Amino acid sequence: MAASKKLLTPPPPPKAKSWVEPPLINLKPVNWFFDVNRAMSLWPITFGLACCAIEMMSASMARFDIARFGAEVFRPSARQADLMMVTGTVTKKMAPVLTRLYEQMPAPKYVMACGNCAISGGPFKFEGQYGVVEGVDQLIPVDVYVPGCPPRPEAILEGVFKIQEIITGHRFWPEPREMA
Amino acid sequence: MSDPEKWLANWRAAGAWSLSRHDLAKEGLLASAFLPTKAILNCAKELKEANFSLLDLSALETQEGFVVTYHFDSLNEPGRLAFRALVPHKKPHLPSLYDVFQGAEWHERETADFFGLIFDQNPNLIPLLLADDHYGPPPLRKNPADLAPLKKLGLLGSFEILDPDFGALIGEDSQKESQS
Repeated sequence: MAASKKLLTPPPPPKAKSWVEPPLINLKPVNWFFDVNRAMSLWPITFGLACCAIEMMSASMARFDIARFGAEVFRPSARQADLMMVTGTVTKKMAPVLTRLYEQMPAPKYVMACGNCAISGGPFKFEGQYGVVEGVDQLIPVDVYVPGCPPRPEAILEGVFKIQEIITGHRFWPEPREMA
Repeated sequence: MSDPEKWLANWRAAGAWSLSRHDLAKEGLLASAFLPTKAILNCAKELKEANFSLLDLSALETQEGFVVTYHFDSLNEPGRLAFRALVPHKKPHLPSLYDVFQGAEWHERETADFFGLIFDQNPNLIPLLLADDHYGPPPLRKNPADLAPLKKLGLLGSFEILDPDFGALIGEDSQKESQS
């Protein structure tokens, strides 16, 4: 009885300002079960910055249908989302908004940098530029980089697969013939 | 078609430094004038009363100073007008058009962002496109060596100079009406 109570009561929060609670029942098969569920129901935040967002919309529509892989529920609130696709140019004006949204997302959270602008500044990286953050990884940690200008919807789907692989350690979908 | 002569007469009465007639098909303008900064607000009021709208407001850096251009278009009949102000580098102050055209506020904030011009009565002269913590000189200011003289920019069309000081500044004879 005492042992199960110890298992089910979360430990008191540590002194640090932010922390990740350890799993409620820390058993490998249980964690795997939760991880697979999490990977198959990624909720991206509705967050488009530039033309890559058009490709994100295309990926979510009928032709490419991101719903087949469980990531179709675009949430308008950061507090309900666990995947941020940074689709487009991150300007210095937008940087505080982006970091705030990232901080509002509950952990575990994942970030996909879509397109060359989000990866490195892309075509806007030149000497004397004054408005663009050269790579979103200067602001927030990035899990998956999807190159392209803009990336095709298939590439965005492939990025989602990669995040599922990060979460579960397993790729669930067959590799396209051209890639294999 | 709006009557450019009527407006040229108005601007002459307001103490314009120079008056220009343009070819609408080639330059997109019927007439333009360089006005002293203190006459800008009144001339804008006259245009507003004649149902003109402010199309845009932008600046250009030249050897003689900043040339700030106000474009107007009539809502009743075709034909664009413009007037310009020459603002010295050392004291870049201008009156704001906010009281006449409310929409001018945004254009003025943008111009202030990029050229460091100060619009005196603008109620909200904070950066519009640049980040709040932008550091350094306004981004569209040029090296003094790269600046072109106003005369070479082709702004003047077929013009007459009314103010001899202005004529001396841009290196044109104020006596004769000339073709550029």
